[in-house]
Amino acid sequence: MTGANGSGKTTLLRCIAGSLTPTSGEIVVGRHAAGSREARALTGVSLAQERSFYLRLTGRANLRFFARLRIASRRAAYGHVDALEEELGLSDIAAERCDRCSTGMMQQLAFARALLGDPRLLLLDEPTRSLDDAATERLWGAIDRRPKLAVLIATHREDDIQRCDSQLELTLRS
Amino acid sequence: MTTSVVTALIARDYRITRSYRLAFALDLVYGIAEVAVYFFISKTFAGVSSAKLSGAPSYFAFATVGIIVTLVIASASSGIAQRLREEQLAGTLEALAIQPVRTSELALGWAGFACLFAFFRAATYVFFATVLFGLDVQGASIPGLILVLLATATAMLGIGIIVAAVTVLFKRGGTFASFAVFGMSILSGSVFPVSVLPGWLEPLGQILPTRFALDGTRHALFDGGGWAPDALALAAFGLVAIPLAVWLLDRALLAARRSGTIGQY
Repeated sequence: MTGANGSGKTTLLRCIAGSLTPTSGEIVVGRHAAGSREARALTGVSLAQERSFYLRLTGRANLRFFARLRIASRRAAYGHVDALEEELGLSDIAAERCDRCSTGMMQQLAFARALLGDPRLLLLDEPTRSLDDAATERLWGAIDRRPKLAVLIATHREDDIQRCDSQLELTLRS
Repeated sequence: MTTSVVTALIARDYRITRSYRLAFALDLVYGIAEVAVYFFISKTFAGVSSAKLSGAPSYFAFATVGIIVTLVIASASSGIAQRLREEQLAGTLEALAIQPVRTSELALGWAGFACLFAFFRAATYVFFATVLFGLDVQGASIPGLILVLLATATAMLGIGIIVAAVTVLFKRGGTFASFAVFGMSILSGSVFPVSVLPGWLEPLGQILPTRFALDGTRHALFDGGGWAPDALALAAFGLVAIPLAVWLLDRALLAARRSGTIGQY
């Protein structure tokens, strides 16, 4: 999903994620109305990540907390976080308290959080904006390893667009 | 409702609170200092009969109960809104709102640590009031005390969730909660008996849930019995108020989703 600033990319992602209700129309995620608990369980989201973590806690404590909101068993939730840390190469970042993490580090944590609970739909808002090349490759590698995962990305970067199956261009309404 | 969500929220709040070590310690020191202040004030009122102090053996004993019950009342009634406000300011409320959790789980989870911490602080204050200032709790019913304080938290939780709904919609519900807690505590006899209130105010003091909390706690702590009717009245109030309050919070979150203000503060 591409478009100029203010064209509504983040708004649309929020409507699908369920934190915003559309003024008209209907959004359905896996036969469930967007925003319903069932739809939220199917959806992993990474929006504006800078202000969405508990800064006094480490990245790992944050991920474990959010994992427990999606996975009932504590052991399974922690195991899931450990596996994601290893897959995404996040061990060092996860050990840091979030108030000591850079924007790029937080962005990687936000991507890991979006994958918690194995969602069927992933919503990513400019997921590679602050990432270095290696972190960008790890992100796309994780997506490639999940062929059944539907991904909707809002981005301005040409290399992200090249990786997508189709492009939706949003235009500003005059 | 799953307990994993509630326990995850409680564990998170414990970790965050623990990370502010000085504030954690000062919370306890402040409470003990407050108990000490009432100990010295009580020396001014030595000789007041127990009958005038709702069964408490001294004004110090009367006021100590006022302190611990107010602590539990304040935590249950404003803890949720305070936590929600912190989520708004930190920007984590939207991250929580898109998780597959129920409103009731969020409400109980937000209140959980505040209530548990209040119980811990209440126990600490009673311990220091006994050891340092000679509070007589020989005849106390500990199970009774725990049940009355649990029932108090349950009763006040309904009010706390309504304050949280106000916070979702109008962002600052804390002032409303503080005013309500202060008013209810004073009118119910936390620092002076209800009987000294002006005649027209006394009936109001008698029907507030906080009055049952204070009377029940005094019965449990100083008589060892007679606390059950107060605990039952509190529990009944909570069982009626909580579902209604959760419904209101759910509506408030829905309204915030519609207006696009869930991520705002």
